[in-house]
Amino acid sequence: MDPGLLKISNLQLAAALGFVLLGGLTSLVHGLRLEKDLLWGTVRTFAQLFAMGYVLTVIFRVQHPEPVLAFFVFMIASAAWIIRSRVSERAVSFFLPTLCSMLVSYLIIAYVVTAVVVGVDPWWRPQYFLPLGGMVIGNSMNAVAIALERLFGELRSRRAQVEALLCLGADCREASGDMVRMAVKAGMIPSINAMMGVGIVFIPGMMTGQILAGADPLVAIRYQIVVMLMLVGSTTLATLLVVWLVRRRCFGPKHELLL
Amino acid sequence: MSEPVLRCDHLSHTLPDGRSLFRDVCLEIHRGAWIQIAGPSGCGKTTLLRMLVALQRPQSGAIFWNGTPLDQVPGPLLRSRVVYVAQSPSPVSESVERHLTRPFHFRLHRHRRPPTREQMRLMLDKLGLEDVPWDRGVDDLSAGQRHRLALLRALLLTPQVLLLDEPMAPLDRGSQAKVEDLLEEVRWENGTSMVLVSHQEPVRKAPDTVFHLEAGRLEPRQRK
Repeated sequence: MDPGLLKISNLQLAAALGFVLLGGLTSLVHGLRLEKDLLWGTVRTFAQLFAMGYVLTVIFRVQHPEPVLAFFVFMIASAAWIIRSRVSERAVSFFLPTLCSMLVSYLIIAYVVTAVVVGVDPWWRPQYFLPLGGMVIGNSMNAVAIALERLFGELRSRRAQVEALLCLGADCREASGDMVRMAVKAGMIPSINAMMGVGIVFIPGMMTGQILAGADPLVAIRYQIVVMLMLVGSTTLATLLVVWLVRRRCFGPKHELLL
Repeated sequence: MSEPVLRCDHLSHTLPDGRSLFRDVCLEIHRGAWIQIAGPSGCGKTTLLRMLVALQRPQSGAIFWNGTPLDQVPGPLLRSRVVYVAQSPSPVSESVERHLTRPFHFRLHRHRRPPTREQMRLMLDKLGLEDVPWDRGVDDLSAGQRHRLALLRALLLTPQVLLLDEPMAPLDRGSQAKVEDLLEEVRWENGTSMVLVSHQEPVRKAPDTVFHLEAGRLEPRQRK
């Protein structure tokens, strides 16, 4: 164990539950009806993170590419599932294209970052690949959800405009070009905004973790810069792919709008 | 008699609530025909037009374009020749010039020469839009002006069939006469078939046939 990192005991962990109690009390006093969600969220936080901790311990011990990649794919599938429940559209099935586009884009980005930018050898070394990949997934998941919501919203609200172009001989790609641009832009903006605020408004998670673990802040910022740039790449690639794939599903075989 | 450009065979459509919108509708549209479809609101006129351009599928019956079932025709190809102008063209934030020339950037029209400013101005004049500058935003125009612009955009593509949903509704009688004159001119020059869903009596041009869609039936009434 790094001498710079203090251990958190079970008692200390239990004391941190006081923060949730504060949230629960507020909910009770103001009638917010969030007590059940708070309780469920807290249980899941403990269960999921402890489970991940044990799984990562095993994966780090095994040091083999298969479990690393399997865990990475599991994280992506979970993210795609969360997006499915977060995006309200039900007329178009988007789970499979979301999963495919996330798999392709995140694998590419995570590989490039570990193998080329950081220069880890082998590129799948779990201590690097999984935390970096996890950050790609966690951050880009929001971008994909935002882009999908925007795409469906734009197509529904500007239906007359889309159909007017279809009626002049446009195919679905030509008729929905404006909406696709809006959706991709909406997905990309949060990662660009994050670059504006980083280091001024907030100290990002990875850098915090490294500093807490005793790393030199000047080393930590280099990692954080890589992460910020990586997130721009992953959100761009993932939102582009998912919007392209899902857009076609919003139209029928005759390129008629289905929403 | 020659093959109709569009033919509907026994079309029926039932609404999600189980109410029959229309049933057993048969219609033939020949080259250069001028047809008016009238009927009370909600009787299915717009649905029928949308089916003719494959924006909606009929629940039963078949539609043929130049003798080919619509099932076998790619939607964009059909709609590049059978053009439908909806009742309320949406306000879009693009200039008048961009709005009129945009379809010529579509894959199916890219091989065609876009109209020159002179050609477009001539037609704008004929529709009473002589004062509209090229760089004016379409969303800055009145509903009637937008409607005529949408009509002009469709006419510039010299379609085989033009389906117009309530084209005269937002127009005064003077503008209606100008629209009718231009449609008639295009019909004679290009043999374009005109199908108008309209409640209004024509000012200048009496249609060849008026169909009434009522109580789910489409009945023709020949003009004398």
